[in-house]
Amino acid sequence: MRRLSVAGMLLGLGVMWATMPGFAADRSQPPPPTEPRPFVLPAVAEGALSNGIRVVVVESHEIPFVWVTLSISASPDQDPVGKEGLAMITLDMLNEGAGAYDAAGLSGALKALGSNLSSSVGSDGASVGIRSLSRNLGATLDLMADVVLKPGFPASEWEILQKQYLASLQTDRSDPSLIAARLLEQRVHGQSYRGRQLTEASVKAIDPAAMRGWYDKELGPARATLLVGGDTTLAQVLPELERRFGGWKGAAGAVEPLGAVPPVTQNTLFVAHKAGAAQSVIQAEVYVAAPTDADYFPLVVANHVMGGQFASRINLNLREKNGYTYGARSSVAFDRRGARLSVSTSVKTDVTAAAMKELLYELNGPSTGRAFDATEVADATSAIVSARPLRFESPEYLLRQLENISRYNLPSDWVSTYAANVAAVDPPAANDSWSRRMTQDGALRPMVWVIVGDLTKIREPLAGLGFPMVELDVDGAELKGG
Amino acid sequence: MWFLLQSALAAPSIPFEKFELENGLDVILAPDSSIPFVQVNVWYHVGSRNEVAGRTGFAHLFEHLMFQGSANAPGEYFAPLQKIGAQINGTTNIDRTNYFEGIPSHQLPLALFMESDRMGFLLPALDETKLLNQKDVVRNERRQSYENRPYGMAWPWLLESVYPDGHPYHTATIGRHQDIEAATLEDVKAFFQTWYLPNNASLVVSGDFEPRVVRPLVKEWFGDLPRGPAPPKQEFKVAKLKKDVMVRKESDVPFEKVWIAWHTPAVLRPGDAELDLISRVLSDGKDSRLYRRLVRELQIAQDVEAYQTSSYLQSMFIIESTAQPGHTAAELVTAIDDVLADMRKNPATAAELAVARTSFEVAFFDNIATIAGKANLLNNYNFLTGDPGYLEADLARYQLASPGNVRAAFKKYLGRPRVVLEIVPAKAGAQ
Repeated sequence: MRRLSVAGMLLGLGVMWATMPGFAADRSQPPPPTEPRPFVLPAVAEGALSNGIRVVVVESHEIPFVWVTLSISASPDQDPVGKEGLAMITLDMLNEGAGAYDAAGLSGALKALGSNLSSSVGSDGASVGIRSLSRNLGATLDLMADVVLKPGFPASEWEILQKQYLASLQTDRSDPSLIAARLLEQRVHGQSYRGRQLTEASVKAIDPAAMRGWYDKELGPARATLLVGGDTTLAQVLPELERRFGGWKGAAGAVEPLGAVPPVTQNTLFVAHKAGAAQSVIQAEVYVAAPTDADYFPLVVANHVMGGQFASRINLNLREKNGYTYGARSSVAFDRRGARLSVSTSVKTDVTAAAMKELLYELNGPSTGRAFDATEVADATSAIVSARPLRFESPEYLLRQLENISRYNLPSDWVSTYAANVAAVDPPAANDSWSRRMTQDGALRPMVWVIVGDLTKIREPLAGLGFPMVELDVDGAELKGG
Repeated sequence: MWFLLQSALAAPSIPFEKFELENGLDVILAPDSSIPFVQVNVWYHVGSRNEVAGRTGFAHLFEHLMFQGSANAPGEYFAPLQKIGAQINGTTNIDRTNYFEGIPSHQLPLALFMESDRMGFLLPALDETKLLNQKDVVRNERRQSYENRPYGMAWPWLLESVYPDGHPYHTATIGRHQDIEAATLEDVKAFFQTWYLPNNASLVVSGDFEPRVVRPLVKEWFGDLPRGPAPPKQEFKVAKLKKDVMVRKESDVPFEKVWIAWHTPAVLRPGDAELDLISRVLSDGKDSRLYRRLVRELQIAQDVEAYQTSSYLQSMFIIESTAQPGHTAAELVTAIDDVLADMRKNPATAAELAVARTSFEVAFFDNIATIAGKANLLNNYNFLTGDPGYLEADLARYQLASPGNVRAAFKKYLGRPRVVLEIVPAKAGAQ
């Protein structure tokens, strides 16, 4: 039916256009925009279960999917020494057998419904989430409730999963990007948990009893929120959730405080050898602010100009001008410890030191006469604000923001004021923030730098940069001599 | 009928209209006002399969040059679009090249200007400096995405092993360093004039707009681009194996890993959907046949995955698996063979196929969940069949695949000969 009418129109248009004189478009300048169309933030509906679990719902009825995530503030930072990885593994094991199902049975039951279930730890919390066809929501929630409330932690499944953890530790060790990420995390976080990553020894030390202990201590309704999005309504979903999670009585109390992030006092290059590497992986990071600081949004905008978009200073220099890399970027992200600025790229081995020089040149730019100018700042604020509606196309982004608000004590109007906060940033604010957060004594604020590449080729050129250099093995142990 | 066994899902569909400009450009409009954004998505019907000898990697290198500015929009393609909130990218594969930007609805004229300008007026803005720079960038992309990553070279090695020299799919899209380095401005010019023509492209606009407003806009910006000569028809001989091929590569990897590949029918041809369903029965979920046997029972594999590549000229069915420490690729091959032998005797059951079909139905909804997904899917169907509305027919292939069809496809395609590629740790000292 539809195709017939389309075919008819095709013919009509063809005839009409064939008789029109051949206008050539005026390409002398870019065409102006038309009238902006309004964007309205999706509505958020709130309710609660009888045991106090907060329920938030963002409706979206375009496709018949429903997402439900049980988000739990937890302390993945507090894994006991010697059992690093316990929180992650406990969450992973939740869907390796629960209720009447073993791991294969659970997987098969979900698949038959067309549903996904995942359970994992993220930044400062744990989550169990499903995505279901709306018609199968009840049956999928039954499986989710089994996973949350009746995990089995079966030893036979841990035997299989443990092997996979041990193997993937080895795989990670052979991947230069993952090596760099691990070393960076160790050096940024020191002896707080995130610096003490899981190892062969810790994976071998973890058993189902330890998982059960973590589960009992950390997972409970007092720390939980249910985030719901998609093809349902609060009125429809609340009784479904109440029936399955309203009687949950976990014991978890307040989340434990964090270990401190060690201060970074000088730019140090932590380098690791990867024989014959085709490129050098460069990553740097430092905690610089908090998302609730007055100059957080100016910092976001400054970073956007520096390395947060394709046409950023860093990428235009290292990629588009020099061809050193496929891409170079910087980013600002936050967790319970604050907001961190990160830089990352992979560059051809023989230009590693040259690329470092260009990176430092750009990062030092604002404090050495190349302040962010009015056009750069206006373009960056416009880019962030204008792109924003796209993020709300499916409910997941908004739900994640709502999770962040409660997890990180952000202002309750964080989402609705975000665009205005970005739009308000002017060049002085962006420059002041960069200067305060990323500059020290007229130069780049010290960051933790990690470089993974072929040291036989890059050691000497890097030494020429004049920073202290510490050689590490791929697990992070310092090598003597250098 | 098999589809009657399915419960009543609201079927996925995308309302659209299609028309053709006089210069041969296919235009597809798909309004959707869920957010005030539009997607502009252009497909050029050229991929690395169309490259000439000694110029592997060229289709993709060319894609990079499309972001270096055109005669009336000089400078970085990203610059004017990014600042109005655009999300921009392009991709090249063996079959086609696509370019897309998501932009606020009221900026659609700018995106149409930019896309049409590079479709018509790319060459005057190109120079040797840009070409040299993007050669470096692309060679770094090869290093980053393939060479400097464990098992990263598997795909190029697999294609070289499965397709003979001279076959359009012999070399991976990323190409070889020396060929990328050898590209000249003359090559760029010839490639543009051969393939980057309105009559070899299709444009989708999806999202928040009124077709009556956008029809004349599209005509204004794209209507005056000249039609080019019909692109050459691809000459190639369907690759067939005469005997088993065994390739073993040493690399900087921690574990032995294997890829087993068979030649299979092209996308949408009979057998394609059946092989898709078989792949799910074999490796989707912990209760799937390969996963259960290799990972759970024998515990010789860390992972196992089966998939049908569904390409334009012909396809591969691939099973890949990584060995556990202390186990070998050869053990994996034996175990995979056992599972396949068992499947010959005990074909996929109606229950297994029903579950596999459900996973594809969900995947179809996934594909149309965003205006970007819709735009790309419409262009894909238009490229493959000439009918952007092929979605329902595509889904029906899965719904109508009977256990008998699936059994027949399995027997016909997943026997011998076949290609086995093993990547094993380089011997100590080789580093």
